[in-house]
Amino acid sequence: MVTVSPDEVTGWLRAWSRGDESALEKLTPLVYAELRRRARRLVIRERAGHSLQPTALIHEAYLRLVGSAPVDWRDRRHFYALAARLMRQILVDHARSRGRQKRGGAAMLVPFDETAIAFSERPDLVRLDDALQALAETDMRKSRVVELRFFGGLSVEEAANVLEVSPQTVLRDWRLAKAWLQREMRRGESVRR
Amino acid sequence: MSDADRWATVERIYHDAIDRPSSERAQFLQSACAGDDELRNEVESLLANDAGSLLDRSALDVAARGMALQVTQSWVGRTIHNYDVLALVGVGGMGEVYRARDRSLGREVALKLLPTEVATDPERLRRLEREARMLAALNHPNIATLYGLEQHDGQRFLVMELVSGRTLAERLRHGPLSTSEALDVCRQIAEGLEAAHDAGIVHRDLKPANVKIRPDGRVKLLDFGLAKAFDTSDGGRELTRAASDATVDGMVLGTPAYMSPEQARGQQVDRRSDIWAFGCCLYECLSGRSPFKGETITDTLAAVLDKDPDWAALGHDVPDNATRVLRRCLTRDVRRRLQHVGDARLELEDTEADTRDHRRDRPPLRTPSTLAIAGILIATSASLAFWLGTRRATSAGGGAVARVSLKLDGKTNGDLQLSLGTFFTPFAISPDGRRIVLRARGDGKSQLFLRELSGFETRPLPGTDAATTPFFSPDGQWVGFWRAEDRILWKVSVAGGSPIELARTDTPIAAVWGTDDEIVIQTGDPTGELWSIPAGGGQPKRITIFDRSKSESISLRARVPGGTDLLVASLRPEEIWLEVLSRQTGKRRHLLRGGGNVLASYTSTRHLVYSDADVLYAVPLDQRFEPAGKPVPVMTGIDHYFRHVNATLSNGGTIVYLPADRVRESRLVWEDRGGDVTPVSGGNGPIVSVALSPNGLEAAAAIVEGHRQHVWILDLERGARRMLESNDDTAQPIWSRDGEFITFVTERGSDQIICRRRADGTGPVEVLVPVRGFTTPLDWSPDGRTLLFSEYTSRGDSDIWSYAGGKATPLVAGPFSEDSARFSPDGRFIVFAADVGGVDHVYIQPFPGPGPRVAISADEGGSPRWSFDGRQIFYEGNAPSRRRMVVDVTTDPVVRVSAPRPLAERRDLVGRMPDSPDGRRFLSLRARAQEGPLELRVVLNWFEELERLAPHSQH
Repeated sequence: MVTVSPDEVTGWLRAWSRGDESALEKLTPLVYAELRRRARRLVIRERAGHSLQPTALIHEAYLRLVGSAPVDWRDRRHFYALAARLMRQILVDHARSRGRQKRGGAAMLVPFDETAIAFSERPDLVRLDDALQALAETDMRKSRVVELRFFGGLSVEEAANVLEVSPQTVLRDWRLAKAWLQREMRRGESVRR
Repeated sequence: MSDADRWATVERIYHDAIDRPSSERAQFLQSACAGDDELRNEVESLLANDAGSLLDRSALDVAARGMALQVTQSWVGRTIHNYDVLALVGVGGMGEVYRARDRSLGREVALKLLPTEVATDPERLRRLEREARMLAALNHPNIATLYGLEQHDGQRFLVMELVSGRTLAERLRHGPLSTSEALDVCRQIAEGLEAAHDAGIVHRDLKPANVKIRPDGRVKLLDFGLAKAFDTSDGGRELTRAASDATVDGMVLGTPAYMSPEQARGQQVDRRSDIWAFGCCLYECLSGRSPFKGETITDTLAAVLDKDPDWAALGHDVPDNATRVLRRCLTRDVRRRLQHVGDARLELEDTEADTRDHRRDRPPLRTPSTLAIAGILIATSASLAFWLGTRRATSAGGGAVARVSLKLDGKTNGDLQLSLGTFFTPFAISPDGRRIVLRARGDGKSQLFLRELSGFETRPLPGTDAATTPFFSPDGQWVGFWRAEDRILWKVSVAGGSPIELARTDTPIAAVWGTDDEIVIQTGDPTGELWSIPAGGGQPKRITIFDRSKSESISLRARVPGGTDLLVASLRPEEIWLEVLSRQTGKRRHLLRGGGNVLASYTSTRHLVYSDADVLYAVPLDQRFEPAGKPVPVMTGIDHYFRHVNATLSNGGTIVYLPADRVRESRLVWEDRGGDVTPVSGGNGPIVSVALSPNGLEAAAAIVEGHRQHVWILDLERGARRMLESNDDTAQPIWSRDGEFITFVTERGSDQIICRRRADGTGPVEVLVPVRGFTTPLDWSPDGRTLLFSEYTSRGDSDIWSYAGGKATPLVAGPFSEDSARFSPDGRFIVFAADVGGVDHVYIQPFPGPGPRVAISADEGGSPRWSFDGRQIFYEGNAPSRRRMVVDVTTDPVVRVSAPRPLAERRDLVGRMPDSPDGRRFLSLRARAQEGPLELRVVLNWFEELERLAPHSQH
């Protein structure tokens, strides 16, 4: 495995923000590996007591890869956008593989208490990803808002910064996108039944 | 209209509609869509999905929650704390339940894992902890006892009495109970409830599934009070959501069919809700069906709120008394409902007596638990009042200097052992000088102890197991600490109570709690980062230091009086400075040279007291807190270790320290498998790492002197030692297999270089390979051609490299941390540790490969060593016991590994696996430790002599 210096990473970020797509190719596996490693550790080892914030994780990854040297905010913005997309990939892949395991594994769990209601608060990430792809076809920006906010954990202001729109626009997009996704996922559910 | 235009129209109308009150929306849509039904459908369907909670949690959180269940399934067959987990007995809304055997008490228990939703919510967790304490005190034959709330590997679980038999719900599936059976079961339920209500505990989720009937007929209530802790405080909100949309929320609710009307309305719940639920159970026992049961949740809740149960469903043989009790329990108006379950119990007893065979083997009704709990509460509030009442600042001066010796005895078997040789100062004095907190080991575990200087008792602080970096709040009422287990900074009141979570942080090396309720910590990363954390808890914020350079690390010392600026030390290889960091500008200015060890404090006598090695210096300050004179050594002989100094200073001039002569340096010993220990002559000293020569006669040891480190060769028989190389700092020695060469690491600039030199000190230092990240030489192949070493990558993990023929190539370089590689004696395999998936395991793979990788360790494992004959592998077992383990291994024709077993019967053979010449005795490095009983030195009114030693008038 190649050890990459922060300077190189910064250089690639810069090149990419100038439109050099080959720099992105260099950057992606690095950021992907870093994020995946951190995400896995976080969810396995440190799952108790906290709600997990992807921003912190992305920020840490950023510090590891780029270091604390001052970097043009545009390059930084590019990093966050990339990280959010990769987080989506990582988490959806993870959910997919879990889905396979579940179907393959023996049903060892017995119902403990059928009468209790425990609502699942986990949206199915795989289905969400599908719906998000459909949304991207209708409205690219809204799907990116979801990617940045839900997968990347960015705040409204940060997302606005990345997309170069006003925070109000992000808020409006976010609200409509959520309704749209919820509707699509419900529809998918009723079709399945 | 194009699709894009169409979508833009949908969007516009949607947002316009959202901004209007819902009553006006229909009309608005009518006109806005102007007869375009498709458009209107589209907008309406979106509006119908507005304000869902679909993406309220981050995707990472969602993934983690999904994973938690998966991870915990693997508990079966494992040993968690003292519990051998035998089987998964159930999974439900409130988590998973396992059957396990408690090793120490030899009894079977139920372990109930908290669902992530609870375990990840600090507020609910706190509530549960409180509840668990009350419940643990509740001891009644009709209540399944709660033994405790524990934690393993970040997973919280309840330990409860394991009750055999089936639940009432299971029994009811076979139809109604006979009248006498129903009366018997329900009387017992009432007895359990009554005891709990008397103790002020409400069940909140009583239902047949929470009632167990043992084969001997004894009824036990399960999950007492847990519903409350598992629920959120805002019951009403959830319920509205639950009723309107069953897929929305993630909260565990009560069970609708047994929910009282006030509960269903989301109102306050008290014991009378339990009485309602009790009525439901009684009804179901007698009739075989639940009194309020609808097709859907909504129907059920509607029935609870306004339908009467079908009284005709009760059989004719149901006694009038029982029906009367039932009607009084199932009265909707709480004020008119039966108020005390004891009344129901009495009625049922009478009814039972009236009917048939009266049972006489009833357990006693009252237990002393109520009184005991009340007593505890009174004691707690009284001590709280005491502390609040006696809070006042202690003024500086006003007494003669006194030097006293403070023995600390924690009422433990054997002496308390101060945790030395760690990254933090293991004790702190409160700013008012009233009390000392210390991290020490006693009775087999490390935790914080509190010693009031006004008393003799040294008492443990509950909830502080394995706590590090203790520090006080400015008023001395709180102790802050950190736990590696959950990586959380906590605070705990000196008056008692559970610790309160402040923030998740990296390892803090030092912490300062300011009077403005800001806590600043320095974390243990190589450069040292400073973080600001609100004393009430919250997200840590990085404190920016704009002018930091790459080669320095910055270490926290104190707050500068009168503001938020920080006193820090800048540590560079060539020089050390105490500096003031401006929070305004993020820049620093020099204050004075020196101050390498962590203690530094501004005193009320206007001095700056700081430390270098074992010496304490004082320098007088002017009005602006600038040095106004020369630093003067004011005290020596304080125990120190690298950058730490074991001393602490109060505002009023009390200094507490551990004298250097009370500490035994780390030392080398021979340990055999029976646990017998033989000291190595000449093996005492600040040894950091050690490697045994292949013939077992010598050791190469890296020894610290001041801020430098050198490799020495120790003759283990005679105790003689000689330095391998004196010019550069040298570290991390290993031997070549023929014993001819020592390979070690040295630093040149920011690079680390792996070098070697002949062990006898002849010949030059030969540079093998420069390595960019932090590196450790691991092992030479038996043929002497290949060196394995590890390197930390910029991603924060480590990889294993091999170096041969002048070239370094990555050997095991996954996204995980791979380390501690060793060759098999025939050189055909390597064994190494990797933290795949966040858990350290030991693996074997062929060398140079490729080939399959075989996992050796069952649970967790690290620092593997191959025995000299190649037939066994030793390694360090899983935390927290970290027992040394051994497996038998054959590699021909294929790799086969036996089940791991402890290396020795004795449980104290723990920690990193040391080298061994023969697999029978091991060269172990024992950490530095205090000599004899724990004794600290205290100087009272030390400031009285400070002015004399470092006068302000000297300039």
